[in-house]
Amino acid sequence: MKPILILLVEDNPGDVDLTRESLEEARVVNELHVVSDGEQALAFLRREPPFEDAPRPGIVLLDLNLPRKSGKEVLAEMKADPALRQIPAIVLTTSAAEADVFRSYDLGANAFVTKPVAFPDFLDAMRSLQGFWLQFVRLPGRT
Amino acid sequence: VKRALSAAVAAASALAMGIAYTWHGAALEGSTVSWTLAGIFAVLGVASARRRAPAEQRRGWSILLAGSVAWLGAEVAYNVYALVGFPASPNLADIGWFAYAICTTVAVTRLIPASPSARRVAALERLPLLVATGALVVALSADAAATSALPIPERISALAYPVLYISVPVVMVQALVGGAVSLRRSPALIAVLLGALVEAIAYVLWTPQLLDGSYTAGASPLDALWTLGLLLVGAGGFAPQPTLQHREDDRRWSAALPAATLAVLIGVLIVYTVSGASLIARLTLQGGIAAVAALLSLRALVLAREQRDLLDEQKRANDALRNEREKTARFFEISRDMLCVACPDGYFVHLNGAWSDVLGYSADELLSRPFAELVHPDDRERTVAHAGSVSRGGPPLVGFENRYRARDGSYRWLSWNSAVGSDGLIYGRAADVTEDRRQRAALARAHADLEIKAVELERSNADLEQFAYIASHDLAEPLRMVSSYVHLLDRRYTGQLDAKADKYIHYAVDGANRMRALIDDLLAFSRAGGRSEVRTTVDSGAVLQASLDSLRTTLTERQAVVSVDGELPVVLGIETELERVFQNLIANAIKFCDATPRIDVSAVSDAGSWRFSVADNGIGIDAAHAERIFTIFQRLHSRERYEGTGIGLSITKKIVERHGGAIWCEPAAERGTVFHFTLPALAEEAAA
Repeated sequence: MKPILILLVEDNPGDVDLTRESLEEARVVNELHVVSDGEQALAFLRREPPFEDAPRPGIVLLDLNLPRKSGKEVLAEMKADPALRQIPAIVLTTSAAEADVFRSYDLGANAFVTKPVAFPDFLDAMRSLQGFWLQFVRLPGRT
Repeated sequence: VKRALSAAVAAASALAMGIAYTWHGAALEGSTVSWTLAGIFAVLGVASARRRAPAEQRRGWSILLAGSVAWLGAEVAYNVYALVGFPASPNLADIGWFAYAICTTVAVTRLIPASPSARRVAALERLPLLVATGALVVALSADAAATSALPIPERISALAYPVLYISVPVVMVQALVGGAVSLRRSPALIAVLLGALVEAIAYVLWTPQLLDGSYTAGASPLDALWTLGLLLVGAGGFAPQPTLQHREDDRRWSAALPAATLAVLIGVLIVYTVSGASLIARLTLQGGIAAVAALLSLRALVLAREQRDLLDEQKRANDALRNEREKTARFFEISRDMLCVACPDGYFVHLNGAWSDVLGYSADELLSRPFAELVHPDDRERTVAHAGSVSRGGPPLVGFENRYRARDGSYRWLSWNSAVGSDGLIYGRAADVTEDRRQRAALARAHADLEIKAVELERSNADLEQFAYIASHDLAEPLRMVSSYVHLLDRRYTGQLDAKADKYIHYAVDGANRMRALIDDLLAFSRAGGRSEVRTTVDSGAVLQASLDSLRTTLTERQAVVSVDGELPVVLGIETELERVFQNLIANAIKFCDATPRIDVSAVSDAGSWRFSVADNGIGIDAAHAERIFTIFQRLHSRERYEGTGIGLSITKKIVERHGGAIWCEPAAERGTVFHFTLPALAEEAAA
């Protein structure tokens, strides 16, 4: 099985580790790339320096509260860019309420995952991410 | 056409008479021709007057017309007699001429307007006057009559002429003197009066001549007088007739004429007695005097009675008026309102006692200075302006308020209603509203304070909610880290460290879980209540079912029985929140129950709202804590015994209250607790 190439946009190292741990525990075969702010995320996606050799991610996990450029802005730019529009973006939110608010902006996020407070819940979320991934098995560029 | 016809008739009759007299061979009797023509003229004039007369005078003119026609008829008869020979008097001609005199006398009393009372007295005065003048006229010709060669009926007939004809001017003059009308305003009446006078004089002069045989028709200068008299009466008919108004009755002069006539009678009697006149003349005068005196006495009696009745009536009216005045004055005095009458010159003219009671001045002090002096300087200008406007007939003043200085120097607020009377004075009613105003001001201040407090409270509530939201939201983030890694530790390292470490990890996990529950509930609390504009009609039965569905696991675990009594109503609210209310109450009922939970839900309509009840068979709540349980973070039991954050009922209370309802609890009949909460009914139900 080919690993899923994931770009995680997250500034909190604790969350980065947690995501990595849960993906591992959920046995999601993946290749995880991490950037810590919105500008870097866009640079990565557009292969701008210092990410000239970056691979094209199969999926983007996007935190909303990011330094320099917020998750919202990243999402908006991704969806405005024909080259990036088709990459599925999953928004990680701290609360369900935030998800509600964010949904109202209708910026084209493909899914919302509320960051669970307890580890087992997050694990479930990551497992469902794999399920979600399988549904998108015919992702652009991977046919 | 009528006038042309009348002229033709006059000309034809004159021509006919001329021919007749010529054929008869007698000398042309100019007098009879002129009399006939004058008679026709009189008939035409009076007929014209009758046609034009105002309604109330038409009858008078009609009678006069009848008299005039009688005169003309008599003249025609006389003309016939002149041709065929005269029968003895009184013949048809005499009767016609008598009728003329009587008709004219009656007519003039009708033509001269007078009040009913004046007419009554005038009738009483007319009689002695006529008796007196008649006696006088008879007395003047008495000697001639006594010595006349004529037969008695002819003598009486001769005497009747002056007596009847003098009555016309006498009655007329008396009516005028009696205060009826100003004669100069009616040329018609002047002409008729003059005509009647001329005729009367002619007869007074004619009777002695007829009696002593010295009168020859057609050869006497008196003949022209009758023609003149009739022409004047006819001219009166053609003269303008202004509408006459009778004046106030003037009784002072109305008796003057009868009295003067009586005096003349007495004078003549004295002269006759001294000069040794005939017995019959003296007897006539004496009889006349006696009759006049008797009639005048009667008049005096009638007038006296009338006067007395008038005085009685006046007295009664005065008494009634005084009574009314006293009543009004009593009301005026006992009124607690300040009543006043003010002159447009700026002074009070009449005040009631309330003024002294309120302001402390004596009535004299208030009446002796312009009222504007007592008005507060700031109110003076508009007070004077308003009073001026009212006194000039402007709209009545209602609810005008100004300040009056009391004797002790304080100012009293007065509220006014005032209007101008028909006498030009200002009638006012004032009430002391100082205390009212003070209370109103205090109320307004209290109201304003309350409003400020309400705004403050609202703001502080909003602040608190904002704080709770931010706190719970921002606390959630670090907590997530703590909780996640404690869990990770638990998963990865349990059993790898010593037993103590395992225990500590367990405590940390437990603490993190509780903290999470707390923060979740706090967040829910801060968001509970929602916004009123998103409310819709909600079927509370469906809401209850939804809450039971979400509690399915717990219900099954505890084998709880939930029953609903009757139908649950449709209410106005936010569905998810009402679901949370039921969910919290039922979850509590299950949680705080040591046996098999039995829960009963019902709703009754109660004064425009629905009262829901959720009864359980749980452990019950001590009445002392019935209030406390709704306070946030308040718990009655240890966490070890019944888990929970202590926020659930606070959220429930907040939702119910934001929906405009109330929530409370009481012990159930046997065991357990009943929670009641109210929700407003739909508008149409509340109205029904």
